[in-house]
Amino acid sequence: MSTSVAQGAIADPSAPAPHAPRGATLTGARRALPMVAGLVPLALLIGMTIGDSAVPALHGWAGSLLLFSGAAHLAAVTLLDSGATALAVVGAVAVINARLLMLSAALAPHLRHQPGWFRVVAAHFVVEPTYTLATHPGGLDDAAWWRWHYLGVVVTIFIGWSGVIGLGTVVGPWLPAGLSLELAGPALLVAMLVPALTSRPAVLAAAVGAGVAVATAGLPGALNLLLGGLAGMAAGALADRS
Amino acid sequence: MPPVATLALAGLATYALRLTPIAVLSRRAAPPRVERALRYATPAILAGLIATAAAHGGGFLALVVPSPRVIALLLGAVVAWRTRNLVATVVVALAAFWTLSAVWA
Repeated sequence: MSTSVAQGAIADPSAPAPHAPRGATLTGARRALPMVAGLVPLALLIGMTIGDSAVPALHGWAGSLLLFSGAAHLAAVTLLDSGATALAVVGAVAVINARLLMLSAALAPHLRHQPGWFRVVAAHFVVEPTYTLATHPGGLDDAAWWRWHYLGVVVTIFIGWSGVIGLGTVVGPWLPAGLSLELAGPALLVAMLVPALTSRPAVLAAAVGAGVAVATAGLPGALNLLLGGLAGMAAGALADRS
Repeated sequence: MPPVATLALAGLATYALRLTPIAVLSRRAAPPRVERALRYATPAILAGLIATAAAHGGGFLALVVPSPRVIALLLGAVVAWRTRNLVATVVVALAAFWTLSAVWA
């Protein structure tokens, strides 16, 4: 295991691009392990929320595969617990996850050389952590390598994610009270954002995205995330041209 | 409706959001202007999510007035910048949040 992986580094441009499926899958899995570790507190929080709610644990846990999206999962369980209608839950999840439209659009060019069946499967696992790891610069010109690498990333993250959520539903009552995990998600996003601030347009995109999202935070649901994302991307593109 | 069925419906809606751009943009490339904008999806989306969580419903004021939440995330950003380490970032931010929350009032 290379030093950078052991340290949990996110950027590993030196990773080799082995052509064998096994090598690519293992590379993806190894690169996903630090992400899994970073996701543990958020997954525990979701599991504990399920355990504390009126939602049957198995139903709530199934959301880890059905939604594969932490923020939406947390909101869905909280809403179900408060007795919200199915329509309200689906609506809230759809608005929170509307930002995935942008993430999927950004991933699409990487999937252009992939077979149709893979695009259909790969789409379900598009979310910030997998997107960040999938857009790794290595092996971009090798469709087979990219496919197996993506598989290694998403399978590893899914196993860790759903496993720790399941654990959280069980061990929740034994964890010390008062140690709020509500900042676990945002903190991991910070760890993913900082390495992405590699250029002035990227910094501008982040600043505008943050500003617009906060300015429109009063809008219903999480529409502000969509507006912030669109405004940030537009700002980045404009700065890129000049 | 059993909760798992509601979650499945929500998952289906999410899948439609995930698949549609891939289905459209995998067949033909987006205009260059859009392609250029999509390169900034990561910073734009992540920063929006983080700022929304940091403000915690308090608007811009909550971002500039020191609070355990804002200071913890800023410390996390410093750790991420210096170490590029996901776990260290999360651990430092959470530890700072707990410590500051305990001594704040």
